[in-house]
Amino acid sequence: MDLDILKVKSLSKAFGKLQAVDRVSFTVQPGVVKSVIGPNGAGKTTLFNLITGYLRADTGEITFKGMNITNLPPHELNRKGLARSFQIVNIFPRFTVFENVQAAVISRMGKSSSIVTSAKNVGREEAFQILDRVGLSEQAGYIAGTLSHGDQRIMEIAIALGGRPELLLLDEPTAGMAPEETYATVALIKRLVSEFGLSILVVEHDMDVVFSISETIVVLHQGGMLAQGKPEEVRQNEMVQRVYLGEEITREKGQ
Amino acid sequence: MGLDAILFQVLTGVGKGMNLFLLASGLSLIYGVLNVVNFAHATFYLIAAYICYTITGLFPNGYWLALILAPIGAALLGGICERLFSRLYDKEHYTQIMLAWGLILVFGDLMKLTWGSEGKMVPTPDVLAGGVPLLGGNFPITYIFVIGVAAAIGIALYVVLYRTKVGIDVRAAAADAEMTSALGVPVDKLYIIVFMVACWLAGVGGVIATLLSPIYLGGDLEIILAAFIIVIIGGMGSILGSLVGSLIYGVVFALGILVLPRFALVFLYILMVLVLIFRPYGLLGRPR
Amino acid sequence: MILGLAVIVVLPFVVGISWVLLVTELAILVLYAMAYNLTMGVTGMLSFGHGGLFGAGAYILVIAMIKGDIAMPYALLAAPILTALITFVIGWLCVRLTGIYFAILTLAFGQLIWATIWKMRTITGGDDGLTGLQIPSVMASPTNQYFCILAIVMLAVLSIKIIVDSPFGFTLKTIRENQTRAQCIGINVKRYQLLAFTASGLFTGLAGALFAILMRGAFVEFATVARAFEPLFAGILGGMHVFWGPAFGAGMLLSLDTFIGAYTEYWPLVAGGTLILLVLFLPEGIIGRIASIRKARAQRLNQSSA
Repeated sequence: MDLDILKVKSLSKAFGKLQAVDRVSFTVQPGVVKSVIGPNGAGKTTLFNLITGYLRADTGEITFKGMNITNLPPHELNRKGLARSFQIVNIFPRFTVFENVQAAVISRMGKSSSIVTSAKNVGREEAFQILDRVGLSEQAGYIAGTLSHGDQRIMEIAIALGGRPELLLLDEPTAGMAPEETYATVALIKRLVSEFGLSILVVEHDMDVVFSISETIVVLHQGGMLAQGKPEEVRQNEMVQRVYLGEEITREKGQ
Repeated sequence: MGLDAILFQVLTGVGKGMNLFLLASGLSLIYGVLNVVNFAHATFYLIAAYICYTITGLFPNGYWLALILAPIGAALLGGICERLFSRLYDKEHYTQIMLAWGLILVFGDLMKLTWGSEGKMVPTPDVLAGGVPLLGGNFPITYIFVIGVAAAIGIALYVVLYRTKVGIDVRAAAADAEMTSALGVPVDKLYIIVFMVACWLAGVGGVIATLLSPIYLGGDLEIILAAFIIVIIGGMGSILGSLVGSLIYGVVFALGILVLPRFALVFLYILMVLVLIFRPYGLLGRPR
Repeated sequence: MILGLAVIVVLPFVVGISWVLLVTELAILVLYAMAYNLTMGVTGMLSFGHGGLFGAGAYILVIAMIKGDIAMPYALLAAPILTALITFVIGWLCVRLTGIYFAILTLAFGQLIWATIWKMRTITGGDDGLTGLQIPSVMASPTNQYFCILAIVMLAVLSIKIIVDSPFGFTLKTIRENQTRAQCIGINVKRYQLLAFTASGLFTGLAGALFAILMRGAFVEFATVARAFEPLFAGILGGMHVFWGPAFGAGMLLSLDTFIGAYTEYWPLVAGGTLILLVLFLPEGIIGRIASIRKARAQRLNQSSA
């Protein structure tokens, strides 16, 4: 009955008098990238935190693969196949790169409570496969905190992949990256969709990135939905142009 | 038991509570501004009490001199210790607590070395001797004095924090040290001042406590636990919370003695556990 | 490994009784430090309540044997299990809180246990403690007692090793490293914290019970805050993120206590000074420092060869 992997229906959240997210509705189809954009304070991160269970919604409903997942705690969402990355690098900095991914694999395998075997080889193969896939297998033995910023962000995606998610939520995946790192990340995101059939919801500031990866785009403004559609439609939308006047979209157009 | 006797007990509880307030407010201030858990805070209190003992032994009317000098001594010592803590500001809390535990052990032994392990009594100054008839009993003047001193200092603290430039800086630093520093406030210096003021408060608390009970080694551990209970109940980082917590502590303890003498402290532990579970940031604290 | 075992077996035949007793005590303190480290070093939860749990283990054994006439093997089984139950209940309330609030709530419960022991004279003997524990004759001689206690401790430490190295232990370390991250790779953080705390209480109760056997009784001092700081101190001394760190630390603590304590009554001064220096200058601990130097060297070699 449900072709959409994620369905957000009339979701709202207020902090005191501030309506951070105001009756937002959209869907994510399987195997595509959808982006959420909007000026600062538009409610993007709040929306993300609502979907991933870090905040409780005031009203509205979130369904994932037809299941109602509104207000489920983060660890349960992860078990259902929904993984996320964070805006600020959020890893296990004192673990090796391999262990970072292995931790996620062990958890997904349901082996977190096992005490009979040694952890060393549990999920080893899969963790290495993932590192291969994202291009970090050479750094597998490094202490994660010593990696470059760009590599740490890619490792975050690798951690998320350890949960074999069907839907990946990326919070500004290219923030703070050097241009070549950004290209690599964009290529990786495209590959995750084309080769592995993942669905991805992205919050992103870099409009080049947004327009090159997204199938559809949602524009938020002051908590509410301003527009939604294909990149070209969003670009042509007069309201969007007005909100972004002098900001990324127009600048991007001029380039 | 008559109502008078109960009220009388409540009043003594208020006295003890106000004495502890001087300690708890400093503990709370250090946590609120520096984000340091100063487990050694009561050690400054105990040191001041011992200094007071020495000064009153040297001069006939030394108590008043001690009330001025001993807290200053505690503050200076606190200033030195702050320099040690400053190396751990960005570290995990347990490292600060271990440093404090080290200080407790070292100062504890130094106190033993200086003053011996027997308990000490400070003679009550003549002016404060005796009591006033109240509620069918004889309420000691020392308690009235303690309540008066603590209340005066509490009001002064409030005025400084909320009515002066320094107070505004301190509260700003507590809310966002980085931002405050960016605005040109010397946050490092502010930290030393706050730590020293808090130790000075503990020192005053120690000196006036000598009027209510003897001084003995290890007393600091007992007192620090009391102070922790108070700031947990009242809310870490809130001065008003320490006041409320102190009064609750003093009164519950005093009444607990009437009900179940041997388990008076247990009531407070239970109260603290309930607060932690249902209002983890304390009655007047705010989440941070 | 084999050499170590050989030393342990031969030791009581070549040294005097006081040494045998000292090593027995060391074994118990090592177990206590490693049990505590399951909470602090492995899972990253600061607890001040373990003194109370250590005391609980000791008193449960002694009360069961003296007042309940229960044979030692059963009492020795009951002590850790009941302590684990107590720990579970305390932990269930405590894991709702984090950081310093968690620490202070455990402190409160530790003190509650201490106060209960102190005040419930009729059962616990109050500040006189409970003395006159009768040990089965097989275990009565210091040498036999040494072998029995060491065997139990080694089994327990082995169990802790298995736990720490298992996927379960790895999960606990992920929680220590980054709670939010652990949560969003699907780990129910609170549940695992509670499990770790309970396991830690189990072994702490066992250590307390063994200590009561060694001391032939239980005393209020077993349950004080100072007792709760000991394993934390051991962890800081040796390094709490390496498996043998706390064991090494416990060994150093006991030897400092025994040898420096013999020369001066101002042992706390030395201990406190050491602690201050360690926290300020060697926060990883001694074994931890060695391990991280090795790790860094390995990574450098790795990088230069890659």
